[in-house]
Amino acid sequence: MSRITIDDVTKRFGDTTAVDGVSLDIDDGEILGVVGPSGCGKTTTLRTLAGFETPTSGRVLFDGDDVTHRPPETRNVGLVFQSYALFENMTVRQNVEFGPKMQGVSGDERRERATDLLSMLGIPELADRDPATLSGGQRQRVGLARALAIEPHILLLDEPMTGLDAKLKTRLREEVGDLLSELDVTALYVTHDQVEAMEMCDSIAVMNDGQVEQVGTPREVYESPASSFVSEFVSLDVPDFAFVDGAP
Amino acid sequence: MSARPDGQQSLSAAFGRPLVLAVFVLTLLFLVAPIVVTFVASFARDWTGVLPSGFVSVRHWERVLGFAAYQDAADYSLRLGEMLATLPRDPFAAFGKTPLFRSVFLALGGVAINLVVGVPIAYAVARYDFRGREWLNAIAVLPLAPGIILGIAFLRAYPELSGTDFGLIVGYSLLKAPFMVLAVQSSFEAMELRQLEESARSLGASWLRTFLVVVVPNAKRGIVSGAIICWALAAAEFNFSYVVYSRGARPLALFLKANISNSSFETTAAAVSVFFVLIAGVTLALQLLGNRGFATR
Repeated sequence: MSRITIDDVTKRFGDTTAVDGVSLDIDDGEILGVVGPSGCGKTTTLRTLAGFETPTSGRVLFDGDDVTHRPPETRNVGLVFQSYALFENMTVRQNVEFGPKMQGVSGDERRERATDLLSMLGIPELADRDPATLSGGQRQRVGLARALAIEPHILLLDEPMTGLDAKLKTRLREEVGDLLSELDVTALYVTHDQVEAMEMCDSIAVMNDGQVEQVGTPREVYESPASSFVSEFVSLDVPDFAFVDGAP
Repeated sequence: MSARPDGQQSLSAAFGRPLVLAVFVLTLLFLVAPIVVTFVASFARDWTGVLPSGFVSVRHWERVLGFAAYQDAADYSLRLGEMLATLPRDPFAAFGKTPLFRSVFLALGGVAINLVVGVPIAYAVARYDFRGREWLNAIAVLPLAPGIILGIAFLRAYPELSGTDFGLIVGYSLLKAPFMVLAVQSSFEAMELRQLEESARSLGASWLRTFLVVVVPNAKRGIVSGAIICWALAAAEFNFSYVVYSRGARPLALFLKANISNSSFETTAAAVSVFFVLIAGVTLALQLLGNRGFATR
């Protein structure tokens, strides 16, 4: 895992500015939540990290290395999408082994990694299944295992819980949150759901209109919002919400 | 469907379903009856009265397949007998002698071109936004010209291609390309193409590798059904074949036409039945091949 720096990144598409001078630091092992309304530039920020968008200006650094102009396949970044985007022409195990295979990891080690990850995610029995036969929660876990199998610099999660039912969401939130901290993964977690971000992330960046309004721990952002936008956006309607740090 | 509390069935349960079923069954019967009659009649010795008689006779099949002579001198058969006789001496020439293999080969050629050209076009249209996208889509999807017009234009532009295998293959592929593009495109549009592709790229696969190992296999269903439709339509294409064909074994559509115009009903029935069997066989083969060929598990 690595330390990730986004240095004054701006991305324009024609006349519209999707991301406007965003700077963010993600420490090794930190989970940064990026929240904001749709169209605020959070997904473009994620795609810039993955290498699918080249910033109009600014730099992206992994551990001090400038990767701004490197193609996605050489960046070693794990991606988890809302749609999971599992390869339906392969079994669950082949999905998980795909990344290491592309990176030239030997067959034995690939198998071992896949086995480990699948049991860590509690789905070892699904290894030989066809992804099309899995439930939403199971697909989510396979997607996560596949992204983690390449031992990425950073894990990028793009609205991974959207579309799951509320009960499953609550359970997965807890499980995935625990897993990510346990594995010491550096992660960028993009969501429009502030409760999800507050529960799963070490710190939160609130974005609006292409700019970062505030970065801080969930508690900081909640208790001392930097702007009226932030205070409005993070206002919780969850009465007995517990912050990750455990303090009352 | 559950009964209402007051014990009455809903309107759709009482009338809707039986009605849909009845329409379905009637349509099926209407469509299937000619095929069944034709198939049955092809095994009759003759059909001069109300009902065909003299079952089971394979005389007409023998004639059509080319194992027995036609009554008059002209030979509209598939010439399989001749092919088998030539086979030991000159295997390459043998297959060219029969309309059967020539047609299968020509139509497959058309399918091959459509796979190479149509799949990337469908992918580009489904995946990217670019200038001229709408135009490319329209050109690829609209059957631009009927076979007869394309055939005549073809002969004017490339007279040297008249009657050659290459000319027929290119013509079939042009005429049937829309069916391939449509089938594959709908397959691409049904999946989260961009996210699928980006997942593979982020996992370290190059663009080309992603396309070949992830994108194409995920569109398997569309590609297989596109290939089947293209093949069946190309094998049955009459107009273009009629205009462009000049020598060698007749394309199947012309073989059918020759029998319809010149043979007895029973012989024609056998010829048409051969065609049904062939279509069913190739469809099955492409389906199996498609499922096997893409299976990576």
